[in-house]
Amino acid sequence: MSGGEAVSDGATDALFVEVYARLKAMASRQLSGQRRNATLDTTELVHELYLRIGQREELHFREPAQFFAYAARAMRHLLINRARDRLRLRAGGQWNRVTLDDRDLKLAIDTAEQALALDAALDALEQTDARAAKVVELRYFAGLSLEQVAETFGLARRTIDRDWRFARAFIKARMD
Amino acid sequence: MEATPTLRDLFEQALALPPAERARLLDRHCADPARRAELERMLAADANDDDLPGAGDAMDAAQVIGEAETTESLPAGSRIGPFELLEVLGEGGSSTVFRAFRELQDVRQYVAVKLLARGLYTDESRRRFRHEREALARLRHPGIARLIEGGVADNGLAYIALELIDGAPITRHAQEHDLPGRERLLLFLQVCRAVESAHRALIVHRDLKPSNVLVNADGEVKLLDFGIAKLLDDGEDATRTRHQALTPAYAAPEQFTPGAITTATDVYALGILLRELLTDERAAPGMMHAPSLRMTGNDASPPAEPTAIPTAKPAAKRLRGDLANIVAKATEPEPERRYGSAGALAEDIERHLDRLPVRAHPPSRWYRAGKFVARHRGGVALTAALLLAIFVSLSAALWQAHEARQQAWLARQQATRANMVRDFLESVFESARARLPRDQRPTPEDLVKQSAADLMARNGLPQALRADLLLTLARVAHSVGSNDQAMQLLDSSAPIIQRLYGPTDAQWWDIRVLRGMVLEDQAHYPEVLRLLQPLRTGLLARRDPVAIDGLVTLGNALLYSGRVDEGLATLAEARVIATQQRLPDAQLTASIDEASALLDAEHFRAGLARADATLALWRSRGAKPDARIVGLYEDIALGAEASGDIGRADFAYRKAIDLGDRFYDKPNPDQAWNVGMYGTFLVAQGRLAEAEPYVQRGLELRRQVFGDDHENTLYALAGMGKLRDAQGRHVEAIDWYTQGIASCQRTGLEELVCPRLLSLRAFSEAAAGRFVAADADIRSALDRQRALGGDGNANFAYPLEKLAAVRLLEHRYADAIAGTDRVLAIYATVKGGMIQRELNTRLIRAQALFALERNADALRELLYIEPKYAAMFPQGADRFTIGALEARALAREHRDAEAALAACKALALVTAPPVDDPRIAELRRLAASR
Repeated sequence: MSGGEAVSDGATDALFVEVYARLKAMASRQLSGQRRNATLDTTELVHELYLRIGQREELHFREPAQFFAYAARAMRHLLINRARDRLRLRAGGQWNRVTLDDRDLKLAIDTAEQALALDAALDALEQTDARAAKVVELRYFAGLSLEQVAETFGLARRTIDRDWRFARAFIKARMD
Repeated sequence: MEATPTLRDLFEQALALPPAERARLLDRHCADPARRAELERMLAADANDDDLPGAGDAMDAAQVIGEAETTESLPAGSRIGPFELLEVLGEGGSSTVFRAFRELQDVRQYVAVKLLARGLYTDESRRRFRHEREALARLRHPGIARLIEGGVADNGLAYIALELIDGAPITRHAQEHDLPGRERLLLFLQVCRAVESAHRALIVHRDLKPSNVLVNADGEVKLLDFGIAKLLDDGEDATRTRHQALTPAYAAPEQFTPGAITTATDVYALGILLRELLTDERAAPGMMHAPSLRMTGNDASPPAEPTAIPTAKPAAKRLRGDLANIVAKATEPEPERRYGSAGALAEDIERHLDRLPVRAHPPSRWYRAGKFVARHRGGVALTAALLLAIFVSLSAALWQAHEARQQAWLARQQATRANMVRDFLESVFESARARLPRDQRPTPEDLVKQSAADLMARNGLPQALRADLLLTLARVAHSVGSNDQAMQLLDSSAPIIQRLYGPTDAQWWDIRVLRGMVLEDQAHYPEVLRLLQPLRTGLLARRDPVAIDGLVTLGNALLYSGRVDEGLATLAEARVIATQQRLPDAQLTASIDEASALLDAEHFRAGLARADATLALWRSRGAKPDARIVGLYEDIALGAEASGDIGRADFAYRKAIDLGDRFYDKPNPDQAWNVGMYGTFLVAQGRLAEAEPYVQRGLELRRQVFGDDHENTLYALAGMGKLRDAQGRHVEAIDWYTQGIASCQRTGLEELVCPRLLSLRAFSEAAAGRFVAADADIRSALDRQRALGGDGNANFAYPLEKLAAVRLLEHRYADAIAGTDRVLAIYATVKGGMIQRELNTRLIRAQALFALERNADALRELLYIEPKYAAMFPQGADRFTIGALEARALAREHRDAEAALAACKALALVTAPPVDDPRIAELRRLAASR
């Protein structure tokens, strides 16, 4: 019930718009800093969202949490694929016509490696504390504030803060 | 507990301690050195108050990583497999195409190498890629660019080498050569033939568009990228529901939804391509069937913004008449209504070129007529004009059906036949029109009857046609609810069909299934079973829409005959076949019936899950709501309410009513039922102000639809009474119940509702202090209920529960408790679905126990009831009763702190200005004593 009511409330709608815009931006080519070549991911993510949003009126997003979880997962997936593609091309040893300058390239590769490490740590966290892992997904991938995460889950801010503190330490400990 | 603290427990305990003492905690609880090391790392990480690594958050990280482009890494001269790359020919969203070559026995072979943008990282995705590639390699057709080789390079890059085609997109070729319409159609036929040949090899293109359909210097069509889209699919990741490459303007509606991709998907794209070829207008990006996007502003529009396809400009003269119909048929939103194959599309174009009639006809007339009839099922009179429209479309449908069944050389004969159908229908309407004074308009029954008589009297009609027309009339009669007539028509056509057709012909099945449906509507379930059970195997094998109808009919007949498991299994089979055959409409029907049947059989969980899947299917089709969906929501509401899922029930009730309001222009039985049900639902929820209009309207509607003395109307009277009872207006409630009871007596009705009305009145009378009357009523209710259905079932528990409630009001507590014991014993034998009633009963019991000072027993009941009741009736008035009683019972047990807490909670539930209730004062005292 309360989930159903929350849908029509303006704050959730605004948050929804924000997360959607974020995902779209993340999927779009502008973020890559390059002119062309949206990858398959872009097309596909936009299609999928397109679908879901098209159906939104019917779905009424009975659980806003569901939408954000979906968006976060999509963003996670996108980031990981992007990281993999980046590392794959380096591993192929054919990086001989580089459009990024060396410093940017090194940063790109480091960040890609970190993203993969974070992904793995998050998998491990899911096994240990599923809710804490969800908090990370919404915070890190969907870009919700901890306050918004708390509202989405219908939990006390204090609880979410504790989840986040634990999750952050857990992940950082594994990524070092 | 203390033996195995979790990682998180330890982490949080350690944080609470000053750093110096943490080591001791770890010494004590963390023997495992690896775990200890992890914790120490975590504590150190926590002390360092920065954010997660990876550039802040995902958005920043993605930006820093950037998109690695295939071409970045592959300059001219790079090698991929055996090929050396020469130059980039083109880049698309999912791949880059290079001109490349290899040396083959001293011959330089030039090819197009297509590199997939995304790497294939898993064994599974590589295996699938190999599998598809092999299938493609076997595909040989002069009109299809050949796959030469494909593979995965060491670095995970997947590539395909294709025959290099030097040509222009078909649309550009036609424009540049200013081809006349006929030439364009001939080119397009080549395209269809190539697609048809691939389809026979079970390969679907999935991404047909002009840039994939080239014409070379010799004027030969060559299709590129057959099946490539499928290669791009990967099943490696379960987090994606769908992973596809497509071009929105040419993509069929099902490609935007979780529906399956079939050859019909290519037929759709061919239709769009044909339109473009004939009109020289580019297909709009996004199309009419894509789901519309609600977000506006805020840069929320995706690249594939849907726009309406521009209406044909005058320049598009080529797209008229037959050709317009052909395009429309190829691009029907529902796959099963398109041409069955690219070959069938080609044939129709050939027929058009030969100036023969085509199969395509103005779209949707038959469909819409059918929908109309379905909507007015149950006897709303049709006007003659509307019926005329139905008949016109029927004749088109008939004509089409015949066309489809016959060989092309029969065309002339069929033209004659079509004329006969038309003459016949005209004669029917001629006579109908002759006597059209407004008040004497013929009813559908009249028209069907007259048509049938004409048909039987008319000489010179081929028997096959006569039989088909009779069958069609029977279908119309059935769909307007005129079942006796339908049965007569079936009887008339049966001998002809028996003579002309056997089990391999569609008509043989049509007549049997239709007869089954008519019998079912007449509630002759044993006869349905006798007719359809022996055909079961054949129905399962046929797998067409008629066979699916047959299975659904059989399944429902089994259910109505009490053979629930068999019926459910049959409905499930029908649904599965419809799904496999990609017949979404049949799938929806079967799925709805299955969901309703599961819920009726009190398989709530399975039923609600099936209902959800059905709704998802319905939404994914983007179809308009119809009566079936209203019924589905109604079933969900009842099932959810019965199983205690109140939020969902509320949603579903409202949805059913909203749809019904949009849907029915006249008072309608379903709507009358739903409105009333929702009213009583709201009363039970204590949402009395909201309930009032629904309860009132439910009663009005039922009086209009069913009449004053119908049992459904009596339930609505009971609803009014319950509302007044809940408002504490017991005397008014008694009046409402009395109206209903009087009707039972007047008409001699013997239905459940009569003892219920008596039970309800007994309670109101007791509440109003009229115990003698209450006692008489409750005894009468028990007697009647026992006479109706015995005394061991849930229906008998209803008056028993009211008896207990009356005893409670009379302060006869031991009797009240004994009554509730009997009720609870009955409910214990019923599988779920009685939660609301059970809670009410337990509340009565708790109140009686409290009155007898059996505090511990009362508390046990209350603690059981409280959370369940709060979840099901968040605004229910009895929440206060429960909380207040709990507080008082705790106080009596001298559990003062708990009592104070419970009192506070109970007081918080009182929203209105202080109620005149002695309990309030006591609770305030308890709350204050903390």
